[in-house]
Amino acid sequence: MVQPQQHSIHEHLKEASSFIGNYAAILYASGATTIRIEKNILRMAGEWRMHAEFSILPTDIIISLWSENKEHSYSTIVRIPEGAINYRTVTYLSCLSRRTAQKHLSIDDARCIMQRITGFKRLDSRAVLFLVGAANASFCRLFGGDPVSMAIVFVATVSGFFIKQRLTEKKWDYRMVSLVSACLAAILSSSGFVFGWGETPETALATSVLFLVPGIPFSNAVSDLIHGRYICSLSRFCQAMMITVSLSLGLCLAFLILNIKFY
Amino acid sequence: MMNILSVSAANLSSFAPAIVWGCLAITVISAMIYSVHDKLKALNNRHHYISWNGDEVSVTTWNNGHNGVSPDGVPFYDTSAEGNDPSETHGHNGTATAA
Repeated sequence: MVQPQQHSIHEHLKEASSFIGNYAAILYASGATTIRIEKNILRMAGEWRMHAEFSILPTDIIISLWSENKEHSYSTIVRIPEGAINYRTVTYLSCLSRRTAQKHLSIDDARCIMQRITGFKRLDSRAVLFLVGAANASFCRLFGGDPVSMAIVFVATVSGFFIKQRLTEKKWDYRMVSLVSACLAAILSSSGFVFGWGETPETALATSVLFLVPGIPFSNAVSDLIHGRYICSLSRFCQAMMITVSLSLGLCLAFLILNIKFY
Repeated sequence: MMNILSVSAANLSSFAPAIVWGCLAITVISAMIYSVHDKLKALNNRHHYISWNGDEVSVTTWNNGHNGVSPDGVPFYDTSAEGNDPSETHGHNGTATAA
């Protein structure tokens, strides 16, 4: 017969396991490195007097929580949701982990805070569109582009990124999204060659697709590699490579359409 | 200064200007359509001119399909199978899978 105290321990482990599993899955989907996720999990489990044993995989989080005396355990598998990278979520969820340890938050409190964090609205897509355009135009300037080329890059980037946002909304495959966006941005940025605008049309053309470069997956892959999390590292690296290859194909397709030769 | 991309536009396609303008037009038109669609959706959310339910209702079953709930929400049970133990389907082994 199950003793009431054992039942309570079991329920407590179940709650914590479910919460920590979801917490880790959201962190991974938001773009946190594996070592960051591990540290946060261990910190919270330690605060709640539990031993955590887990495995972070590219598609799932497998977590087993043990009671302090290692007599009871509860295991959970949480599928990692498909989600856009959001560093604000990563920052706030990491803060939640530290706050849990410092302020001795309960599981219920932590769950409420996590719900609030994941419910935050993202930056308005039109603002993102403008900022990405401005950032890419600045890249053009850094590589020696003149103001006309910067303007061309701005327009090309805004157009390419707009199409990327819409196609992602329509649930297109991310490789096709990268290819189409890169092709469109490259065709528009070649207007320097086509109409003879500006002194540095090749800089405009080269920098117009930089907004698609998957910087965060690449840096996370390197971080995981350094810390010996090879499976996650390989997974992130492969995904980043797929995007890079797709954007390169989009650029080549634009060259092919406009009959621009590169060497 | 070294160029970051070495390209030659000497043999540029004669359709190139049309292609560039065409791409720009496609982007502008799709932006306008998206904007209008967004505004219409916001208007509909306020006044509820059109309402629909996109949820797909399917049969939910358990016990290898013997028992379940039809799309209309009517539960059905396999009366021919004697001694179906509900605890088999609601068993608890200390492991959960969350989505």
